[in-house]
Amino acid sequence: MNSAGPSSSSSRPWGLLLVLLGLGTLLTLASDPLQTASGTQNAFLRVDNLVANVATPMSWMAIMALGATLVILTGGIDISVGSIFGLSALATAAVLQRFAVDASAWLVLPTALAVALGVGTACGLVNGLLVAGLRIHPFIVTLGTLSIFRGIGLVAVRDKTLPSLGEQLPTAFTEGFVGARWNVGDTFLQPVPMIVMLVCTVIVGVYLARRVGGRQLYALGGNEEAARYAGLPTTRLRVRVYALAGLLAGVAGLLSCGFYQSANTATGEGYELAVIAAAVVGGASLQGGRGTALGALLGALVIKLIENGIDILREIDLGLFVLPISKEYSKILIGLAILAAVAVDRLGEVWRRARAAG
Amino acid sequence: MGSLARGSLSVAAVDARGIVKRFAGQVALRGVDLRVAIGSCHGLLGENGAGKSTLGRVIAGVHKPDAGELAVMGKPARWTSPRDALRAGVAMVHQELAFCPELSVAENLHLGRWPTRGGFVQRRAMESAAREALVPVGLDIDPARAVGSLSTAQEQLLQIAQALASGARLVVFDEPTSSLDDAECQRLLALVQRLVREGLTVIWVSHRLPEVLAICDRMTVLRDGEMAGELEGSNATEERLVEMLVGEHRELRAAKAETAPPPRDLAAPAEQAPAFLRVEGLQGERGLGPIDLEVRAGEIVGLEGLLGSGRSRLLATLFGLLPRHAGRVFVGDTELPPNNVRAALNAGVALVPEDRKRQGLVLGLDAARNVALGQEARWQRGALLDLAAEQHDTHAALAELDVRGLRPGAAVAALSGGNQQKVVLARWLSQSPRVLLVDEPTRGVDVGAKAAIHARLHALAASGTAILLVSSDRPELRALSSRVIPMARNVT
Ligand SMILES: Nc1ncnc2c1ncn2[C@@H]1O[C@H](COP(=O)(O)OP(=O)(O)OP(=O)(O)O)[C@@H](O)[C@H]1O
Ligand SMILES: [Mg+2]
Repeated sequence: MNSAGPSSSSSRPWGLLLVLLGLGTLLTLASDPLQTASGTQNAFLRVDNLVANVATPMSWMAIMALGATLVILTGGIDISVGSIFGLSALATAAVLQRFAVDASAWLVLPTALAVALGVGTACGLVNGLLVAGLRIHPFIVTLGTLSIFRGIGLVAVRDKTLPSLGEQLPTAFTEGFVGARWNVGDTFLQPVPMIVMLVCTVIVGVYLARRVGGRQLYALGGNEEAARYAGLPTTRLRVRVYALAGLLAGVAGLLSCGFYQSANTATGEGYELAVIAAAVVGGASLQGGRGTALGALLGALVIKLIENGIDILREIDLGLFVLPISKEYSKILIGLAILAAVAVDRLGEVWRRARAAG
Repeated sequence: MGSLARGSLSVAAVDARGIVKRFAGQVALRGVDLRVAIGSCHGLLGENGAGKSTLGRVIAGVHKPDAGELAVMGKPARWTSPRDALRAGVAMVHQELAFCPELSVAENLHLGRWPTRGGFVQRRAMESAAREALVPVGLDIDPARAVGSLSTAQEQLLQIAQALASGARLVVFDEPTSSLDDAECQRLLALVQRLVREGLTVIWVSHRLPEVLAICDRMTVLRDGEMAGELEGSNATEERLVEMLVGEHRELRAAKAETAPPPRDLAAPAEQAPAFLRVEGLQGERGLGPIDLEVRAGEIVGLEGLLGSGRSRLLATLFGLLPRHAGRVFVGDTELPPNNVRAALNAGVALVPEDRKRQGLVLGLDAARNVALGQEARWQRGALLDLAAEQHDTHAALAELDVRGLRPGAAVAALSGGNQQKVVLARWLSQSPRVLLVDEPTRGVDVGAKAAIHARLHALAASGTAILLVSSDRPELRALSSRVIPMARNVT
């Protein structure tokens, strides 16, 4: 499937789209019909499910996967994103609960943005400076900060959930912005997270393809020494990707906080795995030098579809035998599905390589 | 040399017929025949991208041919890996050296077959075996040393020792002398001649015609993946080889390459020109310096010295890649701060590094992006890059150096060694630097392209660039430089 194009980077999305198509078909065929007010619908293939259960909750994951892709592109790794996500959501809630419920949007939104993005970027900068300045392996650095950023939330928020009892976040932020509803027929959409996700994808995509700093990341990840010899500001680039990953985790935290109208000290725990999986499924190479924004988006979609499938299916009738799907199996299934998705996607690559190398 | 009725032997060391090798979108070999007599030294020549390395790799089991018959020592060879070839007595000394730098000499020598007892590696046994294996190549080093600390020449000898220790009877050498200096070259040639006398069969890939003429009994010339001709060592001359190498249609280019006199007249005005690159009391890593030197605008100054004499370190220190401990560097009237590549670049300094794989190229990116590397800002229009303009300019730079085998989007790793070298040069030459530091500019480049690169360097100097040149290729150094500075043990 990857043999279509001359280079792996341009042909990669095709493999992923194939995975998505297969996954979508499987889920559509396997899911039961569902009786709703407007007649019989497929439990999977209906707007309600795809928007509310897939596209919206995938938004924060995809936005963080964009950041993870930037980092992985340079040959690094950031496993602290889940903690940054949680910390910026908590910080946003902590600040906004001091506003009146009906405070003006002009006051609330800039504050929310500044807090969430500021916290995210600051955390990312810490990662970047430690990685670039002390030359410690990024896995170790972010393993440490994963714990520290999470710990800061635990210490600062004694009652575990924000807003505190009796408090409420300003509606200008929640229902008025992140959770804003658009009525469509007899149901409604909450499109803001998705729109933010798409905007972020476009921005990161343009950054990687058309901006000097973005394009240089491929060289940094491909061969750092050659990048240095060519005069690239390698240290600055490296610090920047971690800061950007933090910034994007901040954006994600902001959305999650506004959408759920609350944040918890456990928010985002374990997210790093799904986020890194999304980036890798999306074609980012852990060796560095490869990855795209579109890939990150599609990778997150694959992961979310798999999770959704486990949610809505109880069993898959494979003809020969019936595969039971219960919640207990979900971790195993997600793991297997991730490996399978990557394998299908890479198969084409291996095949192309084998042909090239004889 | 050793002419014992070699031609009468009916069994050939290598008998290849109609070998075809295709890579995605490209044919590297289109039906090549090659017969190598047992116990002979067979030269394999051709322009960059002609298919020499590919043919060598087919013989050594790295590539599987798409069509054709290969027999080695009279037996059909249908190998699927270098391991199979090694078992049949065929080894290859690669163009790009291939060892694990962190492991010791002994560990590398026996990689994949370390002696163990009860699951533990027998270090002693391994090291004494290694010491023995180093004897035939005359390499006197401690087998416990890390390979990363060896010089290129020593690493090369280590590869030969490894081949011999594994019982190889046929060794393919892919441009083994391209990174050696004169003395080391002579030593390697003498060693190979001795091994051939002792019965080893050698296939020798090289762009250095004099050395091929000196040691090869017979030579095959490839052109664009096809056999362009064969010559018996006794009636081969440099002229005839060049003719076969470049083909009749490119005779003109070859003629120019051979005869173009270096524009000596340029040296005269340079004499009066002010010093453009000025180095005062420079000291750097691992005992480099103190060094004083001056290069005038329009002048090419050659640094002559042995490998390890600090020439490359000097260039890297001037460019700001290695720390400068003391001394001052001036470009024109501006003083360069130490350890600052950007400042050097902004002052118009460029460095063509010696090791294209490690320092020159991002192998996973395509040639155009490698040329653009580090100067992307040139194509910035408003907030974004003008990709069309970038494509246009980089391709012009690549075309100017006649880089062959380009495919848009294909990783530069797929190019032949010489063409990769041209890509590195294309990046720096296309910037028209004011000070050019060049380290081994024509390593692995064919005869015609070498002349073209020399012409470019002369033209650059004529336009007022100050060039500081390092080359282990002494004739090249002499031909290019208007002045040669000897360098020994870190000082000039
Ligand atoms: N792995 C590969 N994938 C795709 N193309 C390849 C690969 N290896 C070689 N080629 C192509 O095959 C052709 C022959 O390459 P080869 O390396 O054999 O040339 P060569 O004669 O050794 O040149 P040089 O003198 O520059 O080393 C070139 O056009 C090259 O681009
Ligand atoms: Mg070659």
